[in-house]
Amino acid sequence: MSHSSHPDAAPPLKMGLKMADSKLCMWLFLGTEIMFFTALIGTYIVLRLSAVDADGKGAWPTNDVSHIKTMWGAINTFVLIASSYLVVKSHEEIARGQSGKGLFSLILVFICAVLFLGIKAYEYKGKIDHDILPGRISETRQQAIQRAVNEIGAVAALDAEVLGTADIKKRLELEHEKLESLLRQEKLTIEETEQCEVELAQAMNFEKRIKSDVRMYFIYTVRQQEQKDTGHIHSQYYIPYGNLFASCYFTMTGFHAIHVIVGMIIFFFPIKKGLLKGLEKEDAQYVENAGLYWHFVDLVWIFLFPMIYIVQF
Amino acid sequence: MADHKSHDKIYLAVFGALCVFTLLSAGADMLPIKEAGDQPESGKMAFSTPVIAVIVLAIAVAKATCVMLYFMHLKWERGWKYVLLAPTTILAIGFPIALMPDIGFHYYHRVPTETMIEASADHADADADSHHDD
Repeated sequence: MSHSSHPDAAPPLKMGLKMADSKLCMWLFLGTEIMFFTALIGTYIVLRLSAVDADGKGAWPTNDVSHIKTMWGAINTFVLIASSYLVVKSHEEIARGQSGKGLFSLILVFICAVLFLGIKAYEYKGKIDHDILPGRISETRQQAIQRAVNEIGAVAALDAEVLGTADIKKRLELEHEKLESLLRQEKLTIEETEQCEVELAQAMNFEKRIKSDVRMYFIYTVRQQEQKDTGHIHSQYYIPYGNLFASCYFTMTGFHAIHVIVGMIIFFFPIKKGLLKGLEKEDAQYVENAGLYWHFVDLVWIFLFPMIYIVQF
Repeated sequence: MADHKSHDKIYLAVFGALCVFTLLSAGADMLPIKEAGDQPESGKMAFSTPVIAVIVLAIAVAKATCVMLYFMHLKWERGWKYVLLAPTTILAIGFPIALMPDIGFHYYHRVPTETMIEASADHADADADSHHDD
């Protein structure tokens, strides 16, 4: 290929845009990220609009039922906004040569990220405690009754195993059969069945076992506590579209939380360098790129906050 | 490329604006919601849920615009931003619109499922209680 080896054959390659390659790469990466989160949020919008009752009215679980607290979402929004401001501040300071101030701002950003994840973990714990998890929520009364019946059966089997004598076993079996039958015929509500179950457990001294093994009993006790504390019951035995809600909630906020963790890793390196050797003006480009990523994480939350915490229909 | 003039004051102003927008969003959550039985002439100030949705999403768009223009420096960037962002924006908006006719607008004849019927029963209970908080 003699023509290609000639020094004047091709002009030298030149970057088309007057900007750092790393920044262009970050923007291209953010383009793919926009598509990823758009797919999640777009799907959520469509699923949510399609969750209707038989009359076509919106039937998405309300904040009351799904244990969503707007206040925590708003605090997390503020934390991310503050961290976004601190990133641009840090970038300006490092570019001006004020490395100490820049490092301090970066450390504050890292603390904000930890705070955000802490609040998110607290919210997740609330969902887990109330059994608001994908695939675990009964969506109709029939499903809730079936679940209670299954659990009564499980308790009866466990009791028979533990409580040795044949007389007690027989009595328990009869009691459970009676309860199951009444529940199936809806002569007893789930709540009343749980009440009977508790009384039976207390009489037979196996209350501890029922507390640790039976989910419906757990909801029952939570409801009792809510009634006592606030006079208003939030926890429900069944939540129409509850599993869809839980799937959407954990998918969107989970992927967002993963991005926050990645952001913490990205910010760890300049913080480490700043603490060990001190930051230089040249590091401003890295911080600007990291900042672009972090602002994107903030942008996603700006849309997730109203869509998950506020919009109700 | 972004110029390197100091934008400290602008950043602080944008941060303040974002905080105000967040407060407005949280405030929109506390607006009274119009119940099914409310009469328009009752004089009670109430907003329907789609109106609240439009308000909070408009606030979210305003916040996102602030972050993109100033924090992400797009206000000071050159024309490449349009080349990079226009296709993703078009696809981002097009995606939910493309899905909408199938599910969102209930294109097919709907057969009520058990979940839908239970949800209707819940609505009826909620109307009977006329209870709303949170």
